[in-house]
Amino acid sequence: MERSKKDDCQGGAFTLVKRRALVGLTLCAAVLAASYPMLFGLEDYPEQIFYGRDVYSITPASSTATLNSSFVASLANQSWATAASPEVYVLSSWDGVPVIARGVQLPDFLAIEDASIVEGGGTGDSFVLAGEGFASRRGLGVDSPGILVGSKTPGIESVRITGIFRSDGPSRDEVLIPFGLSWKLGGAASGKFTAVRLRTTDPDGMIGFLRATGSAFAVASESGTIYLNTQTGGDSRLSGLVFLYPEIWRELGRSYVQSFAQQGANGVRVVVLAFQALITMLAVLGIYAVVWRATKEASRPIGIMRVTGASPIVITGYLLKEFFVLGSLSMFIGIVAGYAVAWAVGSYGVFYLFSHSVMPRLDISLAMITYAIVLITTLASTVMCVRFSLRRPPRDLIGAVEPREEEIFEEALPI
Amino acid sequence: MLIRLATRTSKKTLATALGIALCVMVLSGSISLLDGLQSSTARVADRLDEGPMLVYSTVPLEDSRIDQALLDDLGDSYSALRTVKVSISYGGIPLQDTIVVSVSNATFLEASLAGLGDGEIWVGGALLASAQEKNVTLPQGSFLNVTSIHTSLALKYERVHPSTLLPDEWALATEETLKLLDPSLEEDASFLLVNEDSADLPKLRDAGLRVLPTAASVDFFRQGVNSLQPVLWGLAIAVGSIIVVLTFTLSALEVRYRSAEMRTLRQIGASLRFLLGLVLLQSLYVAAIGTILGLSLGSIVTNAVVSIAPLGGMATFVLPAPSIAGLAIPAVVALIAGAIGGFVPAWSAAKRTIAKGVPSRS
Repeated sequence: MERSKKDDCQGGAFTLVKRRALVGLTLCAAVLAASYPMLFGLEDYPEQIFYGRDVYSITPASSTATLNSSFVASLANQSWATAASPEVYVLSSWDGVPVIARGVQLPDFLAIEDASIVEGGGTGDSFVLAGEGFASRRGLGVDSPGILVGSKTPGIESVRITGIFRSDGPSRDEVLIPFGLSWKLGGAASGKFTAVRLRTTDPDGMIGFLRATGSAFAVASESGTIYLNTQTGGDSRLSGLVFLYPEIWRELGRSYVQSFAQQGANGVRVVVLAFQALITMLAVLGIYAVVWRATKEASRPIGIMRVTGASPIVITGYLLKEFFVLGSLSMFIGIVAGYAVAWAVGSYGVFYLFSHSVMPRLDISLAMITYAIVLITTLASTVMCVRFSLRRPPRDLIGAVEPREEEIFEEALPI
Repeated sequence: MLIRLATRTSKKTLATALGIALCVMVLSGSISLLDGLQSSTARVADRLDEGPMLVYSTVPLEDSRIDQALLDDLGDSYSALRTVKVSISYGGIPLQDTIVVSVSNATFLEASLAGLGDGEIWVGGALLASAQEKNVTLPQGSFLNVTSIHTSLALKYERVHPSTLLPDEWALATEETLKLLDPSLEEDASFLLVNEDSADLPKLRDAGLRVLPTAASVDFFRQGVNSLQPVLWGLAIAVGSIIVVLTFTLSALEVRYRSAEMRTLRQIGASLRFLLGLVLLQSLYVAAIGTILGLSLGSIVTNAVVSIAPLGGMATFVLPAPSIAGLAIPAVVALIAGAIGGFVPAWSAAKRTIAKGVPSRS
């Protein structure tokens, strides 16, 4: 039986759980706290682009519904509409680097985005404004030349940056272009918009107005997407068929690209969800290992407590209290450290998805979820491990004798 | 004897191996999903139409130059375009500074350019707007004064050119007219439009030219998925670090279980080297069982995730792709972590045994 002086004096007010055993808990909490905001940020990615904070995005939900200038004007004239920005989204590239070129009416866009032009400028239908993030990432300034290409239909546009704009939203990684250019590059009919982004004081009034038009619209916001005057859904099996039978796409033509993009986005989501599940599972396993080891190291004091008459419930309660207090502290440190990493990743724009820097979702509820997962796993593991220890005779616990066990195979390899 | 001792398997050994297997499963599954996402996307994207490929040397596009010697080696599936910067005026009134472009070997723009003759110019809508702004009436058939840095020509205004994939404000002229405006062009091209299936594209890339699709949405998505790789690799590294710690802990505990045996072996004369070898082999054995189990589980779980996803409304074409990296990285991580996790406690235990003065013949 070997034991050090350290083993006897567990130190301070905590007599059973060694503090160093909790370093593992800090690590597990830190990994969860750093990865959850990144993964949820990846999931939020499309929504971040298309509506933004306190902004509703109205898009046509059928081929018969259209967003044109007169519709936008009637929408913007409503008393409950405080800002409206018609927009055309073009999945383009700047000299081969993926970028969303957003066709906008500059004053409307700057108003709804709370954005400002920090360098150069643009007037009327003659501007190409780069978001600050995209410009700094690509080393672009006013008058930098570049090539924008078409989205679904071929197109080439040799352009120069006329200004740089600042925005706190995802548009900081985009390029703003006039409607005329966006319709050409997007292969869309002139006068039609992809979406209208709207800020309103009366969401119910807006929904009522859209419903009264009789056209099918999708209204997306932070609280979800609702469909008006239509059923939701589409043919999600299309991509699977094309994957199996590649010749089909030629029959489908370019409209298949939309389905491809949708299913590709799903692919990203599946991978992200799988990562969330796998990381959570790994953290649970790690926490269990940490608690297991800490409980093993506490065998001797547990044995002494048993000998001095402490009931299993008292010992379990004691361990739970220690794991709760020390565990909470280590989890707090881990969560703060993890959030700091996630914050740094978001602030310095380390990771990019498509053309946008990934913004981690750093909110208190996610931190609380992380804390709850780690704490519940810790306490559940404690109960499981201590139950196993308490089944053994106190003498074995005090003597740190390992539980006797028969080998299931005398020789694993026939040598 | 060493191998026989090292490969004894108890329930605890299996529990340790199972723990390592779960770790290996996570890492292997993550890599497999990432590779699957990338390869599936690339395979589907390759089947989609990306339009003709734009091949150029520099930006702005009008400053790009492609040597004629390179064009001689190309097949027929391309169009060579030549550009000249010009100022266009009419009746002494400047109307527009723009680019005049010609298309030779018009594989792609043949229909749009039908009817364009030498000495003629087809202008963009912007020039007409400019003329209107300046109260200039521009009758069809009138001659515009087109001035480049080399010369000035009177070119017949025939019509506004039809919409093409080229910038709308550019003007169109024939190749002969372009060579008159800029004799330095000779047979060089400014840029090319090449069929996306052309076998010449790798050659053009190798020549240092830039190649990009003129319809970007597919490439946007393909590059987007590629850009996801570093994000998830970062997470995989974080996961890997936990795996190292976890495997180390599990291996160390396994050694701890067998410390009594080690002491006994020392007492009956086993050398320190023998003990270290034994523990290292034990750890590698456990890690190897865990690795094999984990790699199998990884494959099953990732396929299950992808199969179940459509039930949650997320139809996707992602198929997990087993790769050498997906098999080798988790195996190497687990085996190294297992070896370290065995060696360090074994060394410490062996040293302690000597320090305590346990009799040994070695």
